[in-house]
Amino acid sequence: MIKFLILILGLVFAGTPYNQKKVLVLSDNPAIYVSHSQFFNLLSKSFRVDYKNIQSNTFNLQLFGEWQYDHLILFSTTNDLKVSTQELLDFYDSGRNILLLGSTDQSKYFRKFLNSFGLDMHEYGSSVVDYFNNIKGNQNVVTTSNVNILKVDKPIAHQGAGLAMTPYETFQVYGLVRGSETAFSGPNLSHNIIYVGATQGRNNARFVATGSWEILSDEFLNNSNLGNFELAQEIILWGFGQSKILKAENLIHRRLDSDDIKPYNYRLREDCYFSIDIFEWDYQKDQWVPYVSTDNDVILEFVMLDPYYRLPLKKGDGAKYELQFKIPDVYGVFQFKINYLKPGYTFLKIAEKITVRPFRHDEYGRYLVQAFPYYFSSFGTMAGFVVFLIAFLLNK
Amino acid sequence: MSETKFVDENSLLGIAATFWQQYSTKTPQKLKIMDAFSLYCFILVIIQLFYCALVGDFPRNSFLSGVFAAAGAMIINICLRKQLNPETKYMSISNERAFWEYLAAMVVLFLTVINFLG
Repeated sequence: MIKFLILILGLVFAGTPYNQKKVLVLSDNPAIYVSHSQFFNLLSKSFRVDYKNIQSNTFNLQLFGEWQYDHLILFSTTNDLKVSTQELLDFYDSGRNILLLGSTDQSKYFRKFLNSFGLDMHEYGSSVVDYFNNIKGNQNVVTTSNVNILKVDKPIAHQGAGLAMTPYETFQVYGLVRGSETAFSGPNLSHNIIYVGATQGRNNARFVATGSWEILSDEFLNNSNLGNFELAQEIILWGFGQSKILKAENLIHRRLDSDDIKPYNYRLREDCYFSIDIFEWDYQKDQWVPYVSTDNDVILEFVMLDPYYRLPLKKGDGAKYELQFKIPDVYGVFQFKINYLKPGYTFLKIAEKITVRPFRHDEYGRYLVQAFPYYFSSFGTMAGFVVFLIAFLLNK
Repeated sequence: MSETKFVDENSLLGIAATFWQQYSTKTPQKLKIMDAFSLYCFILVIIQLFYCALVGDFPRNSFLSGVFAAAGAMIINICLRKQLNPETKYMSISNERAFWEYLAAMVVLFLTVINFLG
């Protein structure tokens, strides 16, 4: 009987895997549990969610040096958090992701926190206005179709303030959802307004920030004409480290005609073969699948202080990216470098050191035709010397 | 004592003519042989440099060894000539000793050249 009960309990709890990641949701307005219920439903499907009040003392980000949560969602407030900005930044530095839902009346704490990530909030009390791309003529509820990196088909609605970043995409800070051409907010115009911005740190931790709470609220998520539901799914996938994660392993370099992997050193002008396996995490299949780069853009650099070669790797079977090339006419300590910074994907930075030695004394070309004058002159000098000796010594 | 002068003694041609006349009468036969060998080596150097300017010094080791064989032989020869000429002698070494040193230097030079030639 006891065994039967244990079996039943085991089957019940098998549906709730306890190795899921934990998300902490901090806010000070209990109304969000109603107005963002769809979003939290989506979240609970793949994470264990803890809801805490920002001002309460019942949560600890860190307990005895161990982080208690894997991801963090912040709903911004008009007051400061009891957790310091430095602790939040340490949370981010440890590789954990943060989603910040800002609002136009958020306190300076959140504005400064946003600044650490290369994003900036618009002025206090401002909101984005668009007379052309809006919903039902309400110029405050704006829509846009300008989406980077995430895959959303339908227009996205937004109501509230906007964020600002550089007018161009950088390799770390992305404008995931940018305003449409006719939107403005105070003195800022069109493509410079960000509705959802993101930063990926060098440790591949991701930070997503929005300008208002409404972009993920139920009234937009339930609207099937808008893409907000897909946006919410994509933010949960991308922002919490489930999609567009790359991994590279199995780096092989060898001489073209031999099978020894990673030989001790190479010689000038030898043929070299390099290959690496690049995988992408597939969250649906829960495994690593081969990464397919769209436009031949995984580039291998062969560097000694300056890159001597910069060549794209060719896709081979499975996850293999490979290349054959000829080592240049220079000897020294080189590095195979891959610096793959595709926007939206985790950064791939790989460096592998090899040595290239000069020719050994007997590896130079012999009896080259174009060196004949030099051969002739050397032996001619010796012959002349012998003749001179004879003439000199036999002369009276 | 009085030679008929066909050219003006202070012009370039005059200097060359005087030099040639003095050289061919005053220097001993042995030194002239040494001078001939030095001139031969110098011509070899010039030829090689001309060839290198044309084609480039691809097998650089070969180029260096060819040039240094000829130039080095010339220099060592000039050193021996200085020793053997009583006017320009330096260091009080006997002539035989100078000649042995000359031979040793030439042997070392040729060994190096052959080694470096590839």
